[in-house]
Amino acid sequence: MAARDPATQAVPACSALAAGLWRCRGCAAVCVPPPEAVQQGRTRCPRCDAVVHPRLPDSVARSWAFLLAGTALYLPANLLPVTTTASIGGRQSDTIFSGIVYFWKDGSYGLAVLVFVASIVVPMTKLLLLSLLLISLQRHDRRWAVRRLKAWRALEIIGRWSMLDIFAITILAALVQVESLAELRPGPGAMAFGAVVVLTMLATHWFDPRLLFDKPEGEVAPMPTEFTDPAGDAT
Amino acid sequence: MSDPDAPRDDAPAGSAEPDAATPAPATPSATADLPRPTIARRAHYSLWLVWLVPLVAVVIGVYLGARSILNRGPTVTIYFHNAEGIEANKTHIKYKDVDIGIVRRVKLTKDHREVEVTAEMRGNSGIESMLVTDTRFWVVRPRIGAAGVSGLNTLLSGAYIGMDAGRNASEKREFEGLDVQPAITADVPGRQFTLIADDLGSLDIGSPIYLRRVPVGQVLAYTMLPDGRHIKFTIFVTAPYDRFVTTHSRFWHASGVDVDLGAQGLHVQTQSVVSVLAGGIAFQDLPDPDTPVTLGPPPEAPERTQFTLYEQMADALKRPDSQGFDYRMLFASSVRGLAVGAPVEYRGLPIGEVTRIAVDGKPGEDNPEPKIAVDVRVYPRRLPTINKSGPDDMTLDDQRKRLDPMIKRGFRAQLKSGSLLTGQLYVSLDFVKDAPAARIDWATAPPTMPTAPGGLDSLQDSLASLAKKLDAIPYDQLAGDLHRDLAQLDVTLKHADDMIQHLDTGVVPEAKNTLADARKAVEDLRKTLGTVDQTVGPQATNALGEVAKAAQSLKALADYLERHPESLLKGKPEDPK
Repeated sequence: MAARDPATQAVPACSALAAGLWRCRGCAAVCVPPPEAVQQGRTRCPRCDAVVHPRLPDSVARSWAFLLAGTALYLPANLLPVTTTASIGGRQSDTIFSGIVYFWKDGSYGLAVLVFVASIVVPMTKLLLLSLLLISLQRHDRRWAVRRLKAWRALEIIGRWSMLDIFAITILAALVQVESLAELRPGPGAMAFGAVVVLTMLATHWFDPRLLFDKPEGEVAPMPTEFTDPAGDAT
Repeated sequence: MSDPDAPRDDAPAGSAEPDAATPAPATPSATADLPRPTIARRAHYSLWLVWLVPLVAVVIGVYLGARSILNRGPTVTIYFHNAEGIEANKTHIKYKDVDIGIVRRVKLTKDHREVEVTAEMRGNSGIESMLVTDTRFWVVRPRIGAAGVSGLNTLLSGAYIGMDAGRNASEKREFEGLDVQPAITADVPGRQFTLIADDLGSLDIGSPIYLRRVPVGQVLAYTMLPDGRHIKFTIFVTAPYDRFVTTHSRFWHASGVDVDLGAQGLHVQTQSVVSVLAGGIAFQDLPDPDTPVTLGPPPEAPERTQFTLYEQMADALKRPDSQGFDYRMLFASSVRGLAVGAPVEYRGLPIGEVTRIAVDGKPGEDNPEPKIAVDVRVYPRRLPTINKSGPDDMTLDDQRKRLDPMIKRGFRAQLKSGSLLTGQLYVSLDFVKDAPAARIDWATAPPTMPTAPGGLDSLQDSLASLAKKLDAIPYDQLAGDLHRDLAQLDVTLKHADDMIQHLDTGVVPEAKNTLADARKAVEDLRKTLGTVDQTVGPQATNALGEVAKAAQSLKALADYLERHPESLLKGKPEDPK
């Protein structure tokens, strides 16, 4: 292995952009952008007709937008009841946390830990990590780029599992509908929680990890105009 | 995850490009072969749209938060004696069976005497106006009582806290929970009244109120008054019967069976069977005899009017004793059978009652034979009076003016037996003939009314004199005389016996002979008659036949003469034949 870049701790590699090449995100075809494409913006992959751009346009801004939206809904997701159970024993509303407490008190420690990790730890980690990544990107902090990249990849993989709770609630709500004896209904917290999961997934999606390795300004190649142009493309 | 292999983008592009034949490094010569993207029309929307997403999220978040905060109504604290069936986050508060709140916390008070239940009411339902000072809370549990069964549904669903909204205006957040469900809730039309009684009887919360044996209400609550001698009842009479509670209404215990064994005999008074078992209160109007019927019913009693709860119907329906006068009567005889409350009657009309029976003074030299002092209270207004004249409200002076002449004419108090069976005494006021002169001692307090022995007293006296007379009879002498008389009688009887024996032996045989002779004579007489019959009979029969024939001819002649009277002159005409 070659000597690592002192800043990014990554093996130095020639980026496609630096070589004047664009890569399609749809079919991974590499193409040479015509000079006019750089100015006019929207280009399509010659093979799969997907929109091609050197880096995800407005990646940081979009990621921030979804991240903030997710953060805004994180509080109601955890404070409002996710389920309302009505049975002959009475009506009961549970938040995520009260459910975990219930499992723990009930002796189902494994279930309690699972729900705690999937529903509390993971979304929280996602929000924190992603904002850390975005802040470091905006500050052109290029340290530990590889580790940050790995963290991002982990986020991408774990993120969807936070939907576990929502699946459980959805299935229970459909199953537990015994007229007047027992009824389970999703509460407003479930909706907020689902939104948090989806929004953080979108934020992760719009994070372009390649930016982690991009050198600040025009070291190898000039930045594409779209990257700095606030009015970017949408795919 | 859109691009897990993103880092490889930075690797030589050819590795990811199967169409690119040459896996060459990114050199200008290699890139020349690569395809070029087509240029498309530029999109029209811009980046700011993406910021709508967090904006919408914030709005939704704020909305959800605000809604849950707004839904969270006022918090109330209710203190119960125990928390049976109450669970945090499970027990609901219901008003008219509508869920209006939930118990959030159940804990003991600091002094560990009560349970502090903190409940959160639902918001935006205007519930604040229901949490006022006279709002009541209670735990609804299955309840089985004389009035019926309630709260059965809570057997399965668990207890809940019931609420009855008050009517006051001043709001409140801390309440004392009731132990039992109130029988009447505030939304039932009707009126509350207050009753004061000497004891509870067999009444309880929920005991029925009867008007002419129709159940019209219930006892809501009872408390002991601070003096410890009276019970204060709060009762509720439902509409439309509440208008029958008037200022003239009288209430009495209709509990069980009232057996009254008094001077007036045995009285048994009952209400309905339920009230016999469970107790109850009855009421009725006592018409004021001074008010003509034409004036219509008496005015309705306003809410929370206070009435007296009488022990018995008879007590309750007594005429209102507006004015009473106390008198003392000194009796020298036994008052056994006289009780406090015994009637005082004027010629059979009750006008008062005995209030106290005591010994008059301590026995001593100056009081060797203490009398019994019977204090009575007389209500002159009780006497139904026809052709009444003069004012009703009398003073003691008026009494004096009326009574003194009556006393002069022999008006006295006497103890009389009301019933021979029970021996109950009553005080009778009446005119006693030939009573020794006496007068009311107006100086004492209360005035002392002269008495006369009466009733049993006089009976006893006459019995005593009878006994005395019997005592005076010389039984010994009488017995001696009787003995002598009897001996004489014995001798006389012996004489008689001798005489009868003499008759037997001397007179009877001769009489026998005489009788035989008499029989013979009768037989002879019969024989003689028989001969007469044989000799005289046939001739006599012929003679009688002749007489009959003669009579027949005579009759024919008479007939003929009647038809032909001329034949007396002309003689019988020739037979035309």
